Amino acid sequence: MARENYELLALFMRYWFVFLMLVISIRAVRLMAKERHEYKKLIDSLPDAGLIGEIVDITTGNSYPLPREGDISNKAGADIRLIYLPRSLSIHFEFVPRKGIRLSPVKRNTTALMDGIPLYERPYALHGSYIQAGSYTLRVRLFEGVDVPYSKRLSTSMDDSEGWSERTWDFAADDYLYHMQTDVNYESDYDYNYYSHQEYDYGYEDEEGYTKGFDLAPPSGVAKKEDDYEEE
Amino acid sequence: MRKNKKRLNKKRINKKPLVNKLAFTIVLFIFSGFAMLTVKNMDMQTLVISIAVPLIFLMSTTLIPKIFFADKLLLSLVNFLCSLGVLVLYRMDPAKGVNHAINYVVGLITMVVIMLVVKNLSRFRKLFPIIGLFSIAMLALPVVGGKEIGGAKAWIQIGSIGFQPSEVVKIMLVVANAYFLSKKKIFYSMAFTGMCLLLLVLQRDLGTALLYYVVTLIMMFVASGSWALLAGGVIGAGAVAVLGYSLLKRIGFAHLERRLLAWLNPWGNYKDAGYQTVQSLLAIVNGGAFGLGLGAGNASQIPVKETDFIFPFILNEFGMIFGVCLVLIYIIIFLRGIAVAMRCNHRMHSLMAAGCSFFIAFQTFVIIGGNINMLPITGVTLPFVSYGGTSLLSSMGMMGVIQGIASINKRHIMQDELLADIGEGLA
Repeated sequence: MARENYELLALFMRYWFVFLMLVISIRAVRLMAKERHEYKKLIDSLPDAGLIGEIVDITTGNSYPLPREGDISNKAGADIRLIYLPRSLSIHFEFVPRKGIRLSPVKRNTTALMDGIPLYERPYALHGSYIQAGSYTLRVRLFEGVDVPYSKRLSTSMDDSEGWSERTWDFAADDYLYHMQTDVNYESDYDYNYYSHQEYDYGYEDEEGYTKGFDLAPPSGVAKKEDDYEEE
Repeated sequence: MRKNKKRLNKKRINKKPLVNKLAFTIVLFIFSGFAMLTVKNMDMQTLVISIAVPLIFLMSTTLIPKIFFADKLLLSLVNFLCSLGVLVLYRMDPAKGVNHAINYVVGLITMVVIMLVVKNLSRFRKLFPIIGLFSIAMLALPVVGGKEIGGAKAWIQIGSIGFQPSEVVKIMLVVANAYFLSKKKIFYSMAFTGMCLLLLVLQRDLGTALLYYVVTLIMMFVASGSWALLAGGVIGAGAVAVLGYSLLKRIGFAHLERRLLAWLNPWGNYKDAGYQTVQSLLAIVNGGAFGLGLGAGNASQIPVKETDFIFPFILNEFGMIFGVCLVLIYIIIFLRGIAVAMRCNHRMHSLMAAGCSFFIAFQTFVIIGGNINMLPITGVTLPFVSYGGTSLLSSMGMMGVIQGIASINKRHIMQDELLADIGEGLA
């Protein structure tokens, strides 16, 4: 094309390019705003987004939401803040799919334990695991469907303070876990029968007929079973 | 009647387009640009590239998000910038345009590979300390046997292939720092970055050193939330800059003094140190609001227009309105990267996404600031647009990190939805 003709074309086309660039920018901004709005809506509809369960302080019964990764310490910015925890005791946790929640101390000389295992060995906590940190005894509860192996731990390390046998405690917890975890991998048929069909002593009933002794309320976001409502 | 309604609904569902409106507009832009160059050059090569580049754009923008759950908006904008780079470079010099197109394809492959690595990051956990050592070794290479270009000894030449190790180390710096900071090992992070900065100073590549320093400082701030650390870092950098300025000549940084002179008074030194800046400013002013038209500009006098000074060249041919929109696109990319970082469940992922976003944003700010004489010229490139294989690969690699984390976030949200469904199922 002749130079003069091309220059004329270029002079005309510059408006076209500016127009297209404006359209691209506006569409990009609108798309970003729309996506942000949709994401916010989605997050609002998922109150437990980012959480995989909860950690329960079994002495007080307080429960703390458990995110996929974070810290347990007494600092204000900690994901799980336990105010009576010693200042030097800070635990980092991270959810690793198919393995569990990897616990590691921020300082190596931390004296916390997970099911009797020192935290510097970086153990994996599963549903029902106990964490002993300072004066706290914490228990891990995971939502149903969280991708972790089944825990069939039978701990005897805990003292019985309520007149309950520790074994009953664990049976009750495992029964709860059986309801919470659908993708349970039993090692043998014996295990399956042992954990799912055994009738345990759930403790005693009070005057109104309610079971006492432990808190089996499901974690937040998990509704009660229909039978529970019927009973109530 | 009911059947018709059903059919209508089916049609509505199927109406969802394969390519969204944004992607369609971008393709229209790229195609129009290359069509003009085809009309101008009237050769086969231009015709082939005018079909190939929009095709690459379309394929990558449609396939990558479907296969790897990448962020579509981010990918569209990055692809647009790369295509714009190919277009502008092809207009400057067809050989460079073709090279940039090849680098663009290699960059896309790099991005996908890095996305996959990031998605399986836990498998590479043990490699992170090795990455730190490898980065230091890479940065030491130019100090030992580097090639000097533009006053900095930052290049390595192996046969006909030359590359800048500091560009490759950018991603490693972000990954290693994210690893250290997620483990709350701030001292390790400081030591590692300090070592990298020392090697960059020995290379006399202070522009890249500035980028490394600022990004590490921001990552430390993001990890710790400590304003004292941020203030200390800024004050420390200011003190070093003042001290360094008084010692520039003595310690062999004469080229930096020239750049500072050009920044402070470009018109007073327009024949010598300020020539580049003056040409850049003239090109921007000549372009006006709408530019002089693609292929009809007069910015050929700007030195290194294909790398450091590509922004004034674009403004000369496309105009200032276009330039403002271009800056807006970089801002959207930055905001999108920060959104990805904020949606993370893992601290390391969050730090990686934030680090990469800040790297791209700060690099853009520094180079555009240098081009419009708001800051001294630093010799860094405009991400995704400037000519240079290593620079483009490094920018695409950083985008791969952000995209990988975006796809992890999507996976987590899907898991959360699943958990919520299972919870409801129990009721």
